[in-house]
Amino acid sequence: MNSKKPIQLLRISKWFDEKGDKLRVLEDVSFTVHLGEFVCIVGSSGGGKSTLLRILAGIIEPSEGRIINMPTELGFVFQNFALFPWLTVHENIAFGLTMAGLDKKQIEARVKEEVKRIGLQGFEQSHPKELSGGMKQRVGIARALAIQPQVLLLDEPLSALDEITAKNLRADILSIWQQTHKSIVMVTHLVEEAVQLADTIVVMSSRPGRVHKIIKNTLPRPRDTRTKEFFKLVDEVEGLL
Amino acid sequence: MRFSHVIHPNGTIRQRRNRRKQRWLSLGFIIIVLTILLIATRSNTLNWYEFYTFFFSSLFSVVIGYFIAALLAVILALAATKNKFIENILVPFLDVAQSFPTFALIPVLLVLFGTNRWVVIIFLVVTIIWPITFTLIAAIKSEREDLSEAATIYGAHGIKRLRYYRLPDMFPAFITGSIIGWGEAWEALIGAEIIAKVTGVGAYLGKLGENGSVAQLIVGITMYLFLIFVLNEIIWIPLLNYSSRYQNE
Repeated sequence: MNSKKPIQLLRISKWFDEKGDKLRVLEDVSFTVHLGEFVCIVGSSGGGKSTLLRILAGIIEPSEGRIINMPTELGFVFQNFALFPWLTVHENIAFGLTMAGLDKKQIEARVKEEVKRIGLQGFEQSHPKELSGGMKQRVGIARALAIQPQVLLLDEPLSALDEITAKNLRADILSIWQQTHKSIVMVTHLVEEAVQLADTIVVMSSRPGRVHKIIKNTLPRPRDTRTKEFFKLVDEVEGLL
Repeated sequence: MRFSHVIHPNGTIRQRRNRRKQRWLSLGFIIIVLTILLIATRSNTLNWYEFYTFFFSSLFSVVIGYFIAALLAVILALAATKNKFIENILVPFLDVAQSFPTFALIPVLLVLFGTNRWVVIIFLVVTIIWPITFTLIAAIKSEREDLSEAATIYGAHGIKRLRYYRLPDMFPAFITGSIIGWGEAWEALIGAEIIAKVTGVGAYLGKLGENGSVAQLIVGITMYLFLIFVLNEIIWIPLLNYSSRYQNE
């Protein structure tokens, strides 16, 4: 799959058949993710945002529409971490690499690099049960990065964490994005988070999920969350929800 | 680049201490058990050579029956949950099959195989298979969706999915079902060996009962239960503890 062309979602719709009725979750969703862009999809709960992310990931088929130029190498970070409890930190991070059939030396090198990036040296042999929420999500991020994806999909990665841990991890996600220049599509229900992180904010209405507006975030980086311009954009996005 | 750590060293140290304590307790338990067995064996209440020979030949039947049942149970559970269509056909069939009175099978097996240890083994397979199958089916149907999605996204397909995701995910349920099946097997074994007239501890205890050797029978049954208890302590309890690491939070 061509990684240099923008990812295009063209009129994506999704419905589920429930007892003879069609439950429409997404309707006519279209937007573009440019190379290296940070896109946040923001909307209230039940708006189909997570479903949309799973369509992007290829684990749900859209009922209508298509996605163009979606890379096959993608990393996914889950809201509730989705770490395999029977695997250690090392094995969780190496999971995608093991499935890809890489040899042991390559796996070791990549895992070591990601463990260093997320700052969990010394915890490689720990199991997820022994980790805090923030640590688990770091492992989730490392697992996603280890396969060297062309795009990262983040499904409300900070919503299961306390505010202090979420704040630190938010900064880390930004730092990783700036280091790796990967395209990121992140779902969040927090408008401030979207304004802080994203180049493009896709505002979605719910039931069914539709693109209400696409806003280009032109605030300069690094973003100060206490400026008038920041709050103005937050108000603009919140006004659309 | 800021990376904050939330370190839980106390949690890890406490776990290590608990594991060491468990190992010492298990070792102490095994020593006590061996001592009791030694003292009991030195008494003349029972023909201990005969008793142990028959017990181990019954154990052989249970072990073989268990391994065959476990393999079939895994295959059945995976097949039954493959897709909705197969599930709707297979699960009701399995539900009816498990209600079949297994002792009624013995005369049929005797006609087919004659007086043979395989009659008892097949009977044990039919006894053990259902608890394992249904616990596995329940586990597969209640799998965490995000783990399943993670396995898919990160490339676990086909045999790799079975080996690296499905089997480990099923492991706690497999152990729970096995413990239930194993217990049911020992319970049913005595009757099966008596009816099938196959040598084993069940037949031996049955004979003591027929001969009116009440004291020997009581001692024999007590030792029988005690040995099953010991097997549980050295096999199933450690496996159950080990399987807790496979459990979802």
